[in-house]
Amino acid sequence: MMRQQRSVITMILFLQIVSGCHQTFDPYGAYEPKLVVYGILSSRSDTQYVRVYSTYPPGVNPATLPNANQVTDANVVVAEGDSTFEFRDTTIMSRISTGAGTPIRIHVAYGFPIIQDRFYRLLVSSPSLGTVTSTTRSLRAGSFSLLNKSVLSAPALSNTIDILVSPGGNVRAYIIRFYIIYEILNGNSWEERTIEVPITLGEAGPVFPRPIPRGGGSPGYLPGTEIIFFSTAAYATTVQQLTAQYPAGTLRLKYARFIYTQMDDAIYAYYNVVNGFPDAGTLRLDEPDFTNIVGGLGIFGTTTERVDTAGLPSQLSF
Amino acid sequence: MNRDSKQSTVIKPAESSVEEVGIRSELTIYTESRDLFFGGFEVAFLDFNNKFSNASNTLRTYSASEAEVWAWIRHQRTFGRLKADIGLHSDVGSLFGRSLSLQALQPRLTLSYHVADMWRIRGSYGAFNQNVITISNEDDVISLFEAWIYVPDDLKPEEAHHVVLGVDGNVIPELGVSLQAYHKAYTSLVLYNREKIFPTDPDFVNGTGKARGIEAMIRFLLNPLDLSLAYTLGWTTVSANGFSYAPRYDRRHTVNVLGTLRILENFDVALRWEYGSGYPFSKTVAYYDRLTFGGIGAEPVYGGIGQQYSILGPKNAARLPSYHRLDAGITYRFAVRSMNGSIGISLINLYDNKNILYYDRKTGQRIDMLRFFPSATLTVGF
Repeated sequence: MMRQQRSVITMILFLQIVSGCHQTFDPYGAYEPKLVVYGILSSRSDTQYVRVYSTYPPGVNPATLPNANQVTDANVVVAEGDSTFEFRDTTIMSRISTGAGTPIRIHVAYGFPIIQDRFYRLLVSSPSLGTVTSTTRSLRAGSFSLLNKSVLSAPALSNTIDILVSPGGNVRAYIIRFYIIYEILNGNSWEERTIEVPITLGEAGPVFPRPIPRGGGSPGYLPGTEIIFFSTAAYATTVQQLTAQYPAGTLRLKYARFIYTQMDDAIYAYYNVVNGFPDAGTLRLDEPDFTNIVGGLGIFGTTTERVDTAGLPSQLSF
Repeated sequence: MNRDSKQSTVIKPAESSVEEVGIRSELTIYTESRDLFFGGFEVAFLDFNNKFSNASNTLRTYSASEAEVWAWIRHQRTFGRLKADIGLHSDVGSLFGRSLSLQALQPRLTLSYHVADMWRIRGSYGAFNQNVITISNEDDVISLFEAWIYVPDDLKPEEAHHVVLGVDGNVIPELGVSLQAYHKAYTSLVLYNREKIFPTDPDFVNGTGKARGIEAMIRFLLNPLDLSLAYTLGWTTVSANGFSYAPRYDRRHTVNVLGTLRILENFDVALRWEYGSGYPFSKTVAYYDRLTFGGIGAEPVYGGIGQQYSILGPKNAARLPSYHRLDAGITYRFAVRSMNGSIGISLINLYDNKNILYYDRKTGQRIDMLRFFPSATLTVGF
């Protein structure tokens, strides 16, 4: 019996010594570099931008190795009919919502207005990373108008700020942004600033606009038109935030600015995929991707933009 | 204008629950001719509640209440060496809840034939369907969270046709063997819609699949030793929209070995070894900084540096490390007057194998299953 017990204990000790068995696990596959291209042709100006960078392998962090995903030898061309637009490699300061500029490498083409309903072909070639292509069809012009401008000066007149939208024929989705442009007294000079107005106030806080698919608004008065509503409560709350933030005499409102942006299929699809399908009903837990860049990643598409403004009284009280 | 709360990277908890209340009634009739008749029905009320956040940390809630009604009849009869069991199950609820379909009627047939005193061959066919499925993040290397949902109304329930052929018997009285082969045709599965790009596109689509394999079991029983070995070799593939892949539960090899040695009348030593080859997963092949277009309509969308996105290789083309573990247990049973009980020592994962439980693709964090874990038990009964 003692001999058996000794054998069992010896076996356990042996197994413990030879164990701590840790099978190697490699979650990474073979890396094949690809071009990443973002080209959003816009009616905003006659200057167009295309960003080109690359994928990077597992184990590399561009935050610590800034050149890890940079492409220095890319040639970017967009063609429409017989016209060809060459892009130049440069660095600009991005204007991002935090207000802090970030230098980004970008390809720029000047004197390149987007003509509606035309096919634009993108070709990006890099001796080190190959060639990728894509095609987009520019959007037909749409229109929008503020139906009850007077509410901006007297929000109590209505519960909503109503905007009539008429999307262009081949538009997939659109978004309307609403800003208040105001000035604050900084020392002896007035400084212009901007704040975005939410579309409504939700239980979890302000809700800002998202792209709306064509037909996603309320039916308008004429076929092909639809109406988008901004909550006056959200507008009033935004103004009240400003008046609470700045002492009397240091704030004056100037005007409201509405930006109506139309987008095509590719951009709308990309937006939804990247932002996790922002509809309330989806049950997807994965993180899919979408691209229309043949041979690469990213997106090539078109947007159009229209802007309307309405004057505001320098002070508003509710 | 820090307005995009979706940019939060805080990990949020996920919840999934299914509550079931139901009644089940069974009836068995014995006849003088030794025929057996079985019948019954079951009514179940299912209540699903899920709350989780998607990859963009957007909260999702899912609640549904469904009723399932099942009814069945079976007849078992023996013709000499042949034994037949024929039945029909019906998913009565599907007849009313979805479009009328033959899926709701599920025939079952089992035939067994004694070729010799100690040998029997068997064959069976059955059609099965189910309306409850689990969903998970198929991008995870190993998914720990699964949410139970009811098959969406616009999709067919999952349906399978099983065919099993087998033989079992004894080589010698102390040595029993069983061998069977199976083929399962999944004529309807609910799978991720990999082509979803617009919110109006469905999350899931109906697909198909098949599973096939063999199962073998050997048992040697000669006092004081009881030794059994079970082995399964299997392949499973699923397809949707023309794309086929191994589902996450596809396991090629499974081995279970159990040995019990009764050293004394009241003293047992047991060893159990489990082995499973690795489950499929998709490897990370690259990263890129993906722009989110969060400020679309407000500023040029080329701005920002984006968010790191893992590019995955071919879906489920790689395999996780295999799982294996040896457990041991010693049990001593005793009886004192009107009291009886047992004292036991259990050694889990005896050789301390680090079986992977979870791997976070984004951080590289690995969590292993239970390491070597000794425990002692005392049970007393009056």
